[in-house]
Amino acid sequence: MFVTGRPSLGRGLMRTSVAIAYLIIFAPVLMIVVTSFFAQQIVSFPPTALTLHWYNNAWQKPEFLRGLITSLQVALLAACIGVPIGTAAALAIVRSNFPGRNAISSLLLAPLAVPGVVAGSGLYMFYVLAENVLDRDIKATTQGLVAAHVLLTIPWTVRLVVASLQGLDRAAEEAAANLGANPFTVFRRITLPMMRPGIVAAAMFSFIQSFENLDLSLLLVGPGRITLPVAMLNYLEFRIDPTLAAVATLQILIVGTLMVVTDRFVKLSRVV
Amino acid sequence: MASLSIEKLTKRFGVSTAVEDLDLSVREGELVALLGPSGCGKTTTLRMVAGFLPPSSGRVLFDREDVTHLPAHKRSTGMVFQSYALFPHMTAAQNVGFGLEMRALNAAERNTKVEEALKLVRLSHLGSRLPRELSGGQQQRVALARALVINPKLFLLDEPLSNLDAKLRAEVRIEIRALQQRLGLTTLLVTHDREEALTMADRLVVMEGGRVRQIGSPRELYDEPQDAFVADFVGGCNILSGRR
Repeated sequence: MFVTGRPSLGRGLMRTSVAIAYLIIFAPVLMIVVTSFFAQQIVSFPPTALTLHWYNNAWQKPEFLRGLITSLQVALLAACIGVPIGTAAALAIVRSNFPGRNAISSLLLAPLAVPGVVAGSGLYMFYVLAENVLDRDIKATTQGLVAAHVLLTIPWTVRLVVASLQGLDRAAEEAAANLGANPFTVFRRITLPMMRPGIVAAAMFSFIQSFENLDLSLLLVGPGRITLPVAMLNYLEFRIDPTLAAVATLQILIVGTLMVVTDRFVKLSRVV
Repeated sequence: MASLSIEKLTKRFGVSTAVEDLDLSVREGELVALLGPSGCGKTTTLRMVAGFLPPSSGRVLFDREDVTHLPAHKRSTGMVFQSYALFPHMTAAQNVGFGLEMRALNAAERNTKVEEALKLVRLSHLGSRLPRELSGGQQQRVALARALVINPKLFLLDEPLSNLDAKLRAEVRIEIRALQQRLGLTTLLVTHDREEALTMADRLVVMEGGRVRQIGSPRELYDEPQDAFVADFVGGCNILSGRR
């Protein structure tokens, strides 16, 4: 809102700054997409020719396809486990008044504050210990990786669902009780549907967090169960060519599609 | 419809007392307004009658049956909330039908009753709209229909007109009163608007600081206020202090 005498100047400034902000956000993404079509192996301007060769190359490498499948599996499982846990935690935090509520609330958000590599190393050591005690494999298994990724999904879920619960009109729940709905029916028919935007957004962000995660996963993946970001890093250790840009473009496409599709059901700008 | 009796009803929140020793009875078909400035305990009283708040002491009776410890969903009161509290994810018709669904009516019976109720509030043509697609006045009428369709024992109105603009408020006031009289609804109305209370109610309960100041018909309160507070709040008159 501009209250200046010259609104056109204000609006111009506003538009320019918005354009600059978008440019800063999108430039790196755009660069990746553009370079994935460059013909030369070492990226340099201007491109000598444009090609789809690198996409074909990425398709030929089994580690990328396997990585993609593993990543999708892990992200789906992590979201399916983490979102219900986070939602239950959010309900407890907002709706009940038990001692230590604030401590638990900060604890649940803590994984956001710990660098992924640190958390990953910690988990690795914990898994080694747990393996000794339980006498079964945990590290380098899908279960171990999913459990770690659930940690990534919980803070996002708690934050988004808490926000959606705080904005919820409690009178609607009272109205339902007034009309004869018992507490369980109130939750199922009124509270849960009203929380839906927050939960859908939480599921999407959880999926993306897990799908894109590199640092936490680095120590926890095992042979044959390498996630896509880790597979990309492994490739990068030996070669630099636009194959990675091609894979990254596909990754961007998947995440972008997910956001657009989610936005059709829930307006993301309203929850986030 | 039932009659309502409130006996020695008290509600304390920690050290503060929101409602103290309230006695009131509402006859079948009568509209009683709880009137007072904000914080006087009128909404707290209504919420105890609806079953949303447990009283600290005292009793609430519907038709001489003690419901003090009955949970809200078993009391069968029809309440209209200040914010209307419509279910945002359900259409107007689904909102109205919710209470009937809870009473396990089959779909055909439900539809007939929902149609009747929507007709009663002149919204038959808007049943398929979501609450956000309705104007404030229309939302308010959906809330009315939703509370009435279940054939409640008591009709509870919590500042039902405060979110409407002045012109509409005057209209709806008359409309609700006519509906209440026609259907013979035992009604408890909470309001801080004395004009609303004076035009709609059979009897008024003027409250202040959790206590009843005076109970009586609009005429009685207007002509013979018991003290300066009631005179000032109900009458809007000049108050002269003097000595005997």
